[in-house]
Amino acid sequence: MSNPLPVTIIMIEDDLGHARLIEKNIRRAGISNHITHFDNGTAALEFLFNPTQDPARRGPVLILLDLNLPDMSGTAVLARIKEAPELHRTPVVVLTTTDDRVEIQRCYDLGCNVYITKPVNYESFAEAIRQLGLFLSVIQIPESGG
Amino acid sequence: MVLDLRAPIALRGKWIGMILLGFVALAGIVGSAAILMTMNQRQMDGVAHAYQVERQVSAMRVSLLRIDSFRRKKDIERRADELKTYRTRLDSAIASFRTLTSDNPRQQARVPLLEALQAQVLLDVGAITKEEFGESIRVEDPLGMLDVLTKAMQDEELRLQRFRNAEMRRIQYGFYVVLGAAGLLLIVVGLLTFVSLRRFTRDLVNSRQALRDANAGLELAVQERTADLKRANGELQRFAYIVSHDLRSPLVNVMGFTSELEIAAKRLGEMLEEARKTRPETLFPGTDELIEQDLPEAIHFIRTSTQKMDRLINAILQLSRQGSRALMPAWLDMNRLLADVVETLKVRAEQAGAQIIIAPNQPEIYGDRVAIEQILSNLIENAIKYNQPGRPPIIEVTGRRIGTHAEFRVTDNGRGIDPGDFERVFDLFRRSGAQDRPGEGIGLAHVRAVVYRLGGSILIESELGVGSTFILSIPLHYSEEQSQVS
Repeated sequence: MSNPLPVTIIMIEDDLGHARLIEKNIRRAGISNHITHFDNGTAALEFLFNPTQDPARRGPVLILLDLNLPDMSGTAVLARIKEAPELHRTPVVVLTTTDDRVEIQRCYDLGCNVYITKPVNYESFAEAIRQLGLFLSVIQIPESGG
Repeated sequence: MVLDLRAPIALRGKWIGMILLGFVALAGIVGSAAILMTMNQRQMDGVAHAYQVERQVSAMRVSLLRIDSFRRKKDIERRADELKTYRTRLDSAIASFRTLTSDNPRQQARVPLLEALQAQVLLDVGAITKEEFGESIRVEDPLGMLDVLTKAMQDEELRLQRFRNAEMRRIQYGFYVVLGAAGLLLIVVGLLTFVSLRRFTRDLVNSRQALRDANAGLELAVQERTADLKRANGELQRFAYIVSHDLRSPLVNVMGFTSELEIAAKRLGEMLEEARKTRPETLFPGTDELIEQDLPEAIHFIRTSTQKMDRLINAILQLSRQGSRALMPAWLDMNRLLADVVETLKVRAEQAGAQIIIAPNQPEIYGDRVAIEQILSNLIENAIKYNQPGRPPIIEVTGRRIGTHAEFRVTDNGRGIDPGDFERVFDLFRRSGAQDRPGEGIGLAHVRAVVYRLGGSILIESELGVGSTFILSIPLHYSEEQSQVS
């Protein structure tokens, strides 16, 4: 690990299968950071905006966001995160099945840092996640609240 | 709505009848007026005639009285000229009277008596001799007789005048009656014409309004229908989009965990190998088969099926996207566009040894470049792909204008399409002939969708083993209204 800070990965993903596959491939890429998984947007926002519940969350976070959530749209979650002064610098990786151009543009407009389409082809998928792992191992994550 | 268009025509017949009747009444007035005027004129002439007769009567009386005053001889000698004048005047008056009253026997009968009186007076004054007088009658008092006679003559004329005046009044009265009747008739005809004209106009206005309403209703119905179709189509597209997207999500899992399973199976295979070497006695019979054959086979089928499913979902997604893409029409030089399409297919054409001939003088059209490129590219690509085995493809593209449309023909010498499959090849995921070339049956479905969207049509002419021609017809000038719901 080149990043000395204990970065927590927040994964907001309603499909448990996807979540498991993502986690497996992140681990295969050699990333051992703690992954906190939420299967809906409400719980994830609750956690992000009320850090007192978990003292360990005080450190920097990186968010993996799926756009198709059961309770609210992923773009709404993205907008909430990027609007909040204490969270807007947090890197958000949108990882979703949607490859609609308009949707991708909207996410970047809202301030998403990386947009990745989940390929159905598993080799490509695994490769994408491993690349993401590589990316996670080198990026500098700002402290939250800054 | 049912329109009775015959009603105004029947009404028009009635209307023409009215006008004719009006003309007849007018002609009647003019004719009867002419007749009555002529009659009146005759009576007036009669009155004037009677005056003339009266004048002659009084001239006769005066002349005779004058002549009677020549009682003495010297008078006759001295005033011979004067006597002569009176005699001439008297003669001419009698002659006039005789001619004027030639149609009245009662007056004529009085003439001889007057002549006898004249002769007696002339004899008395000595203007004529006894011989000249001859056997004529003599009266006691010739002047008194003259008075009576002339009085009778004048009375006769007066009676005639009175009669003629009465006749004239009767004619005038008749004239007024005819005039009044004709006027009444005109008023009636006028009123009837007015009423029927009004009804005719009203019916005409009503029928026109009804026609307009019917038209408007029809237009509205068409608009509603089009809107419905567009809505239904839009919904279908959204549906296709959402479904294909949502189908992808589970597919990621199927593919992902199949791979995980594969990894596990491989690991199991390694473990089996290990066990065979070290502890073969612990293996159950059939374990080899299970791990080395059944498991990889199952995984293989899951994988190929999901891959195919992924391609199909992508095709639906692509098709639904094409439908929602905004068309950007522009003037297109089809010679250049076709050359560009051929250029992009150059590598594939070379690999297949295909020859592509683009006929010169392609018509210029106003349409969406991407859509038309997609159509022609698909057709030419198919022509390259489905060649008759052992025969290098020769493809020819011709274009010409037919009325408001441009017709492009893509002709090949390929394997051909069974006439029974002419419709089928345009259906999504449907293909024709030997399934020996890669593909999902998407290309032509896509082509037809785009062609319809441009407001065009596409047909096939083909013979198995000889070749196919795709006949594409698209409007020379794209317009939103013209395009079919796509």
